[in-house]
Amino acid sequence: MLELRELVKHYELLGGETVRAVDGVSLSVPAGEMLALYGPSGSGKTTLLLMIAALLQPTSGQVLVDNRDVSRLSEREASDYRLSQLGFIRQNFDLLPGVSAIDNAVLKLLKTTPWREAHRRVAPLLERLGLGGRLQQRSETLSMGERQRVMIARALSTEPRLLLADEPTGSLDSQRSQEVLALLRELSRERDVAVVLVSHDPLAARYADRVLALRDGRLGEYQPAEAPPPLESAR
Amino acid sequence: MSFANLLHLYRVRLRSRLLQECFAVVGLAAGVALLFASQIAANSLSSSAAQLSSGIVGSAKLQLLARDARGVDQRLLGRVRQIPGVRLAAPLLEANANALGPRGSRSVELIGADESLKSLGGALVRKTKLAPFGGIGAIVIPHPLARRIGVTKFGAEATLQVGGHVGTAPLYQQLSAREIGPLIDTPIVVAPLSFAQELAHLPGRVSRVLVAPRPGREAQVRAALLRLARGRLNVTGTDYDQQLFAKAAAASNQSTTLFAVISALVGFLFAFNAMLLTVGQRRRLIADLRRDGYMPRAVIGVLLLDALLLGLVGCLLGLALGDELSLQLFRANPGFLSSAFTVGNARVVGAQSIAIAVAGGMLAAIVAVLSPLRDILSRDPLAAVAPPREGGGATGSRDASGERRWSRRAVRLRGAPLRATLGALAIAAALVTMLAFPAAAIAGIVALVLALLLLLPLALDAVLSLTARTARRLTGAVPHVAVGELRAGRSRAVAIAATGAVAVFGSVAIQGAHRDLQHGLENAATDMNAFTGLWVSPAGGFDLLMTQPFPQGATLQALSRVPGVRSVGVYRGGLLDWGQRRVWVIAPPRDAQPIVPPTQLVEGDLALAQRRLRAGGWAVLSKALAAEHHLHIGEAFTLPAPRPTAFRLAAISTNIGWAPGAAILRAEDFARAWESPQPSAYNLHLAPGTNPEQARRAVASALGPASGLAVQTARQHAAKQDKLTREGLARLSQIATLILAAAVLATAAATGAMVWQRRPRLAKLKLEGFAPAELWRTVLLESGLLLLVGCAAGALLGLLGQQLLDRALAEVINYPVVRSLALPTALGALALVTAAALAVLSVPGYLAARVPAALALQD
Repeated sequence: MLELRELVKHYELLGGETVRAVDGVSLSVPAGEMLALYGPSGSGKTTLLLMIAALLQPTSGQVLVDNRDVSRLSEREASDYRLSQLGFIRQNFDLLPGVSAIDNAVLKLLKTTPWREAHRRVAPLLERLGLGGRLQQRSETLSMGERQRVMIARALSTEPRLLLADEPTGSLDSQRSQEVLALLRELSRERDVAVVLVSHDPLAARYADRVLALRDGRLGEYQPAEAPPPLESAR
Repeated sequence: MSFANLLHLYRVRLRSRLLQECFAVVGLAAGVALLFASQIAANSLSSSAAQLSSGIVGSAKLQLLARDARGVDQRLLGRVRQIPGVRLAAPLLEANANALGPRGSRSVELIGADESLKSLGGALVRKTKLAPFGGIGAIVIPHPLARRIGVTKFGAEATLQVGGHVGTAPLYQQLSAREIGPLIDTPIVVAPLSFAQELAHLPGRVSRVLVAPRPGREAQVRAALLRLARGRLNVTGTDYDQQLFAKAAAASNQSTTLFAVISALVGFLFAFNAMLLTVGQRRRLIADLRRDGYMPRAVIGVLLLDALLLGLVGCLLGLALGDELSLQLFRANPGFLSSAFTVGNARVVGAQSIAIAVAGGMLAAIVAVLSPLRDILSRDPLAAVAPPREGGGATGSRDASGERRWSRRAVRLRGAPLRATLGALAIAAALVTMLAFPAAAIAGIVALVLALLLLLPLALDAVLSLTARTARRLTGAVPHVAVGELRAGRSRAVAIAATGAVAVFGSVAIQGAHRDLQHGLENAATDMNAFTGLWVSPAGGFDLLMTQPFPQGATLQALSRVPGVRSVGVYRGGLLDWGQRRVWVIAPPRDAQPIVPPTQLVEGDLALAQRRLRAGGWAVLSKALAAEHHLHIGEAFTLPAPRPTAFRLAAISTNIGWAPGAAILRAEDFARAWESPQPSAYNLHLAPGTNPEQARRAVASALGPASGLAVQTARQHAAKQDKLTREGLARLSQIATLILAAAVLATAAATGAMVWQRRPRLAKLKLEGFAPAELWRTVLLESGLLLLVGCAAGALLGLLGQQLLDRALAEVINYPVVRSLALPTALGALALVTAAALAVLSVPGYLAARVPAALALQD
């Protein structure tokens, strides 16, 4: 599904120094797999995500999504790609205040689908995410966990093949984090979606199919600093 | 916290928010400038008239006034000086004149006085030579007038046309601003009394005698003066001219006051919008300070210093900008009033204007800075930023922030019916004012503005709901995002919409009423010129009202012999001070057709009124004048002319374009009441088929250049009157345009800043697959909705405001208003503000839409 080939992103600083934000990363994530990517601040995680999302052009290398290189798309093609093939989940909840949960969830889908049809398609997804009783609640009245699930529903609303999750549990307590991670893993398998999860949260490794670490722009083995709690207690 | 620490904290914080603070200062300055400039305009005319009056009368408290231009016997002065209790008495001759020099001409007031006037200490004559210079008459004029007519050197001669006479006068002295202060711009020519009498052909006559009674003897002196006047002269206080001017300028002053109120509101909203930009940063500061243990009082101190410094810089900048605006755009133009009052176009900047503008600016700064006051006083130190916090369990109980916002929304929803009721009540109050108390028009306008501000949020909510519903039928996320964003930032959205709304409201109401008045005055000018083909009257700007008498001589016969002239009628007119009004007395010849202007009649039968006027002993009075003296048609009254004369009221008219009021009688009755056969103009009726312009040239040629008389066709005179009317009212148009321009800038800047601050959210939408073009459309749709709602609401209530002002002008001041509905003006203002603001906004909107998506990942 997703394949990165010798992906490089270098920045030239004013003093002539070169920062190697991403330095020859190659990896592939098949459909239905959840990959957790760890790394300290400044390791290149965000740069990597931006390149996968076609928001940043690599210095060299390729980003193949379903065998199409998305790193050289025009602005409109890139927008279409993010709309139809990509879902993005972040730790900050970009919900419109004053707007209901379901209207927030359909926002992305509305670009291509009439409002009524979008509602019809997203309502079951929200129910699946445990928000069936809160579809009409305004976003500001939802708990943090609920807001994150609305964001997941929005990301999945266009049935993307690839899901990028940037610190999706960053604002959640440990119980809510485990719920969200479990949900992501389930959805990944259920919908055959490739998930790239960038996180600092050690819990994420317990739910991922594969775990890698990014240091100084290079991929490497993940060395857990502490053992994550047992999976059972999280469920 | 000590003041030094407060200052230090301010300084270190300023580095990180300099741009926002600069914008807030600019907004504040624009508001203060508008307020200041409109205040100067409102006060300049009255202050100019008051300065001239006090510059002449000095310490005099009473005056004995002649009732016509021919004045009173100078020997009266001796009798006044003999009255016990009179400390000083000074004679004064005033005459309308036309001053000519090699560079041009200017209508002036000729003032003749002797050295005794200096003893009264008036600023105008304190340093002026008022004794004949070795028996030779000479004149003293202000420096700007000297330059304008080109008579600047000692001994250079100016020509003075006074009451149909022409004379020359050498220049003795130019008066500088250092000598006469703000009177420097007043069009006056000062001469020794005897020389002024010679120039005006009024030997031994004076217009008034100024009297300074000894302390405590004023009442006694007044009584003695009244006995001396024998009902044929007026005995008044020396502030009488100011009272007359105030009455005459009431309409103009009220309209300027109205503009000042609207400018103040637009300015305040401008400043408030600008200040809202810094609210987010201040909320974070409040939270930081409270978290660090500062008590609410200390936080308020920090914010008040912010307001003080911002307000101070904004006010200083605003005063400078307002001063420039008042010089370039807001110049006071006395218009028609210059025909009856000596008013300079001096710009008077009073302490009151500065105080009001600064107070407005500081208030806006304080209100905006302290807007998060509830959060400062909250027990929760972090209430100001209300960070999202994990609240309930999986089923989702509300978090603290959500709870708070939800309760705010609940309050808002509960407040909607109250708001609607209050708004409806305010509109009802304005309607009642219009129908029952038109004199309280300004209160009615304020009620409408209140209604506008109360109803605007409801209108915005309704339009957003409608847009959301409409968007459901369409495919596309743009309208959904736009509606969502506007609902999210409702307070700011309402503030921006209110700015446009108030500006458009003011512009439509006042421009609409202005146009209706202009049409009415044009009709009046046409009517007042309908009964003649040519006018022959003393030269100079004072010929607009035809009130300057001149000796008949042999001119009448000469005019009747000019080819193309069928007949010559004697027209008489004058200005009569009646109570607090300087009334325009119009006295056409008996055979004038029509003798009563048909479109100006508001009560009575036209044919009957014409018959009665021609028969003699009857007069038509304007409505306010009749009402003030409790007169009904057919009732008798005494006109306080030089010879008080009884008349009966034939009909009631408009004020024929002269705010203090008008009286129409036949010319023969005027001669009887004024005890003078002198005409103030000739009406020349032309033979059928005669070209008026050719006839005008023939008449001018027959009169010769030394006559001191000017000839105009009726159309030229009407056009001159229209021009002066338009000039007098032009200031209203200029201010209205400026308010609209300020509204465009304010709304564009506030919307632009709102969009710019939202760039991180736009970046997040890019992550969702939104293209820059879609984001740009979203931004423009948001702004368009805001502006359309605000401007449409303003335009709608502005039309109601126009009706209110029209009625006030017609009923209270009796202007001949042609009432209409200013739909083109309303649509024009709506389109102008919306389109211009959107055009200005499109650039920052476009740049914001190009925000790098990476910004979304950099919280």
